[in-house]
Amino acid sequence: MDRHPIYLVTGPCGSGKTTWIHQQLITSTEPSAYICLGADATPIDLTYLTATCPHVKPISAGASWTQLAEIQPLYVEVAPQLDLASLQLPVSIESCQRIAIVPKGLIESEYHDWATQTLISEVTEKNATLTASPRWGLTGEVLDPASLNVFWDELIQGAYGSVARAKGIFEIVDGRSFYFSFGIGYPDLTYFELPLPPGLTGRPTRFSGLEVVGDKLQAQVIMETLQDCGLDDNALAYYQDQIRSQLSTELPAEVLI
Amino acid sequence: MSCIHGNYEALNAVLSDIDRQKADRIFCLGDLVGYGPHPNAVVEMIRSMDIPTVQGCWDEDIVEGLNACECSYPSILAEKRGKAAHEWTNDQIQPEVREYLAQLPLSLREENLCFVHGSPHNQHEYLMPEINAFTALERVMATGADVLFCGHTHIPYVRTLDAGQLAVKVQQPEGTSTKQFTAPLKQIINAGSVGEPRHGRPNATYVIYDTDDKLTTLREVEYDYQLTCQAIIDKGLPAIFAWRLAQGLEYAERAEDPTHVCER
Amino acid sequence: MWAIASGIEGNLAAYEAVVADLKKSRQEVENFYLLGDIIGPTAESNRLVKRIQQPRNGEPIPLVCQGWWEEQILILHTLGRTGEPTELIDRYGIDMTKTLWDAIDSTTLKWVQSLEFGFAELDCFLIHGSSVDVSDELTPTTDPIQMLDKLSRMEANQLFCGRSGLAFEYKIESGSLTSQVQTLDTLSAPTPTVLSPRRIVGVGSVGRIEGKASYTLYYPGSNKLEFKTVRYGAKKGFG
Repeated sequence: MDRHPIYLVTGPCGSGKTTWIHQQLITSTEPSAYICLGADATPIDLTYLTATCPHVKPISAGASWTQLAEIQPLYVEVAPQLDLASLQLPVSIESCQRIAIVPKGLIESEYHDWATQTLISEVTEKNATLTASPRWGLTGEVLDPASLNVFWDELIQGAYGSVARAKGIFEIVDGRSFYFSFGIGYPDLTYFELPLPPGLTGRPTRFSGLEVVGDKLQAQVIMETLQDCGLDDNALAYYQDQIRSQLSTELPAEVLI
Repeated sequence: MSCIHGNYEALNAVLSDIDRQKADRIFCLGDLVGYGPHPNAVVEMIRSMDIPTVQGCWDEDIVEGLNACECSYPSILAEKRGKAAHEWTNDQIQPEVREYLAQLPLSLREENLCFVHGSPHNQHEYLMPEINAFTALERVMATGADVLFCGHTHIPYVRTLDAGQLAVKVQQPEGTSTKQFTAPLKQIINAGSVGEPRHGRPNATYVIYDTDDKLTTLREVEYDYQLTCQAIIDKGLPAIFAWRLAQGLEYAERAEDPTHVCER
Repeated sequence: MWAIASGIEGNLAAYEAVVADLKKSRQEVENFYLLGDIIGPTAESNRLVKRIQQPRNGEPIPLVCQGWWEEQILILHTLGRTGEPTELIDRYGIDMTKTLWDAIDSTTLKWVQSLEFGFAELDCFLIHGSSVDVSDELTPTTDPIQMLDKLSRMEANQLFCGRSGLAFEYKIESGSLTSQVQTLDTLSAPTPTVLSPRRIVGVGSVGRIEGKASYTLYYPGSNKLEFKTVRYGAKKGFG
């Protein structure tokens, strides 16, 4: 049986690995698989990829992904803290496409020696090597959109520490889930609705959260501010009821799910 | 001047500037307290100089308990920040300062000039520069004055309303009448904010009005805002206020939909 | 065609006269608005309210909003927007608080509590006083700038009201005003605002004058008004 390609993608923290993988996946319709080694990917990356690329199957590390490689292209994101020389792979490393995403200004590195293809990202070396990113899980929280906008503007403008890269998935009061992305050197701030069914019955169970790559981050203050953006149980119940009533008067009865 | 919001450093800088400009009279349009770290010192300064002052919406909230118009915060986050600021201020205010704020009038009149905090109808109403021109005219004419000074929006402006005319026809069972109405030149002058800027720069703003030539100068005064930022943090106010002041942003956003009229 | 009335003030005979007058008209009444002051300080108000709640065959179903007397009974029962019946006492004396309290039963009170504040339909707003205050009395002599402000607050071109009890059409036929704004960083060019025609209509009073009920007809298609007067009772001849 012909093997489908295996792409190994690595690079420093914040350099744009997931972004590159997403760009490849979104332009293709053939079923593909995605796995992250070394815990660099967050549920944010997984949720974002699987919501926007329904043809992609995420695989958790430790599952038998070796067989999957037989039947579909496989993208493997390799965390920078893993030793590239001792990666455990089901096939010989020479048969893999080895992609290194490196920041501007990084001329020589072990990534350059290892890769079959080196791509220069928009991110500078300084911003790509900042300290490891704190993460905030927000599953179950529903945010007021106006508050989220204020918080996000404050975050990326440095109110809570210097931020090089930030990405988040947030649930808002009308049941929609939004992906937010910011990075120095990236194109303008991105935010868009994820193609997921609206959540209008109580607190959502699907993943939402925030990850920031930066310096001198005030982790506690960020968490408290995010909590201040959220609706309490009574407010949530009230608004969900209003929205459900509004939807039921807009649609013919047979269309309601 | 208006909307000092407990920012003593900014108030000092503005008073020095007023001195340099050699103004004869000073009027204050309220919101002496709220958000900023030195509410008592600000009130004592205004009292000691005997500056005629009207009561602002924040002053009212400190006197009567928090009861801000529910339309004044556009987000849950801003509302929580506003509540935190109110509780902190309420805790700090000395009894004689509270008594002073309680006795402030809602408006002042000086010849053809009228002074209010928000609008003549309501301390909470925002007179934005883009409200309907006839609505703006009504606000001035409701006072009987030619010039209406207001604050509350934190962005200074001068709005001149001229050549107003209306043609009216009234029909009743007993007969019909027509009348032409003309309005003389009227102005709304917003004094901006001393202590909580919203124009994108941390500097204090106020206005100077010349009663002889009827000209207005919008003044922007630099001061060491970092001292206020440090005091905000030292005194235990939300640290985000310090950052927002440095950016020239209001401490907690306010709703300012010019089509909304506060009915409080 | 809309029929718009106000100020019945508990006068059942006057209300019956208006309903009978509407029945005589060949045109279908699409909307029948009663703009407040349905009740008055009289026990007949309770029978009137029952009558309004039970229109007979062929009668339009009234759309009712609160008026000044409704607000007063709510205040007396501490259900109003303000605390004290100051206005009631100023206008009618302290004894009126007891008269009104005794006149209105609990069923009527409950009905009053359920009433809307006003109605918005097409480019019209229909209310007893104004959106600012139920006591707002707009009359043929009200300042035009004030009238404009009442209209602007509801973003309506036409305001139908009943507080004054008078029947009138107050038309602002045209208007213009120039505005210029100076900020810290900019000075705008003088900008004209031109007004399109708009009007405030006093719909008369059904029950205030004994023997003579006045109300208003409005034709949305042609935008025309018609002030109607109906005489009733013993003196309904040439008196």
